[in-house]
Amino acid sequence: MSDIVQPAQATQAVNEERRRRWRQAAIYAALALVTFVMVFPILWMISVSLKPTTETFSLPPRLLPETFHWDGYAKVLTDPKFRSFLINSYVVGLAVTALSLVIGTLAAFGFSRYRFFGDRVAKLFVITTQMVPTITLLIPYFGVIVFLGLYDTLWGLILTYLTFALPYSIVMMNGYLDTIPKDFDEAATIDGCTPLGVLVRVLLPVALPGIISTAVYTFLLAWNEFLFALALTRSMDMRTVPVGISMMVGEFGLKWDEMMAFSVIGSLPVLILFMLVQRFVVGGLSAGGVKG
Amino acid sequence: MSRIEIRNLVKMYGAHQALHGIDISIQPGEFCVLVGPSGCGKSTTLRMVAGLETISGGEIAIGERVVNGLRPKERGIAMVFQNYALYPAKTVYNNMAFSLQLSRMPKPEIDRRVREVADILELTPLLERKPGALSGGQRQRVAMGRAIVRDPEVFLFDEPLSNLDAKLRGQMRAEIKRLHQRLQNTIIYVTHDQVEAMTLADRIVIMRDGKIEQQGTPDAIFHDPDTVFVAGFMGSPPMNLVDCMVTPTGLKLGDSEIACATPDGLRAGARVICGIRPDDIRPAADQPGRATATVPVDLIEQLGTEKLVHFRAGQHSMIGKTGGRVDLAEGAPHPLAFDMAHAYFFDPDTERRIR
Repeated sequence: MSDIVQPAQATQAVNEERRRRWRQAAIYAALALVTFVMVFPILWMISVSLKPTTETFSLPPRLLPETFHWDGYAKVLTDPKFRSFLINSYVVGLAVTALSLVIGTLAAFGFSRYRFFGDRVAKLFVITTQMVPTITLLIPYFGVIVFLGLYDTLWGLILTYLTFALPYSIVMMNGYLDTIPKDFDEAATIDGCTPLGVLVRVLLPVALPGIISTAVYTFLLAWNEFLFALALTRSMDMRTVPVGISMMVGEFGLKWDEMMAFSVIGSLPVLILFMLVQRFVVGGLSAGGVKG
Repeated sequence: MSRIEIRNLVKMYGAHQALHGIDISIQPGEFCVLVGPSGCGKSTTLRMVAGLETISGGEIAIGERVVNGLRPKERGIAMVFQNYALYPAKTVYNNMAFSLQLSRMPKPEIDRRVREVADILELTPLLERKPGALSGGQRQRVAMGRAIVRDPEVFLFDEPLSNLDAKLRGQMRAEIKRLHQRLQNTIIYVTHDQVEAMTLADRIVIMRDGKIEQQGTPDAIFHDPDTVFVAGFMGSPPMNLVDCMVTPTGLKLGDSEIACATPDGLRAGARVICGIRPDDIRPAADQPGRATATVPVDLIEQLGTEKLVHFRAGQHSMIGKTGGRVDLAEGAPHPLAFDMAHAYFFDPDTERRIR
């Protein structure tokens, strides 16, 4: 009996296997397409940065230049103007990151561990600041920054980005701290820690993945910001990288190789940062992995 | 080694009163177990001694000092938590050394103490590991080590064994007992497990709804319960507690009557709650001369060395015991002997013991 049934079963198994392979192939094809769409602009940016301007729009388009042409990089790296864009971006990015981590963590510690009058309203208020479209705030911010005498200074940018980054830092860090059981606080209190000691010595080491992913986000926010940087600064030596890149359009004609070389240089910190910490960022987003 | 005096301790959470005036006096070196169902206030009491909860009323004294206003680290206590609360980012060594480091003790002294305690608890090979790489029992020992290195006046244990499996719990229970014999510290130990309470305690405090139900030695609590609650809470399987009617010759339970002596204060016709432990209900054949009743046996639980015999008496489901080798059939009536000399009588209204 079983002899008769077997061939039919075998055919069915083969069919199923074939279907499974097709499905796999389709999934891979879709993934490859999406990856190509995502990666192409980056490849094109690198490609253009390595071609002389005359070759940029040559037909048919070539991804690999005929000869590697490093002039764009040489120009951008030696020009003090571009160096100042980079330095400004680093100063602003690092300052915003450091300040928003310190202030955000302290605020989050308060929200997470203490009940006080108006704590829920305050927390809600922090979250709602994230809901306002930033562009509507441009004019008011301009007024405030001018009023404070911070127009066309890096401090003006730092302060502005801080107001964007802080709510995010507070909410993120609050989330991480909430996943850490209060028993740690109590054990540390009995061991002789002050409340601040509890935060610094016990909670922060546990919340490290959260701190890192918050820091990366904050840095990227400041590094990539364009609109406010354009509106709140005027002089060349206060500009940041995104504004610097945009200015190459009008002022120097269209030097595609320089523009793209600078874009590559501007993207590098972001790429490197992400590669170094993507483990934490991904782990951090699915918080709750912290457990005694 | 210090005495602990808890006087008229009150805890309010807003309008809700969690503790209604607790009085406990613990002698130096005594092992005191607070036991009761969840929500009875035992953990709250412990946390107030530790300084983790504010004191709404009353007084706590450790040694000669009233500690109401002192911070936890000033109270001379160390605490072991239910889920250990080991610092995940620190090694076992640093977990144990942390409190000493905070008190700015010289490094060589810290090292000496940590290694000595690690030796006692057999943690020496694990000192460089992180808590994540330890088993449940090892974490439990580190948590105890962290408390011991501080050489505190008082140890506080908050349900330390409830996260362990049954076998490990038995081992750790013995280890805690041995540790107490060796260190002779005063201990307050909170648990909901009456076996832990019986085996570990010098003094058991049974709590219920924020009040002390009864306190005393394990013997006194087990053999001389003051209330229905205490009688039913201690012992496994629990004491049989049944509503009875007093008759001139004994008790009437549903349709059956049992001849026995009743306390002098009880008149015939009075209602009474009679308590009798499963141990005191045995097959009649083993117990000549005792009050017997033939009852339908509806379930038998084999525990190995003994069997639990479930039977019905009137409205009540009751449990008796036989040896593990006695052959009993479920569903058949069987004569059981009741050792009424060890029966307890309680007032059904006040639930207090009638002696």
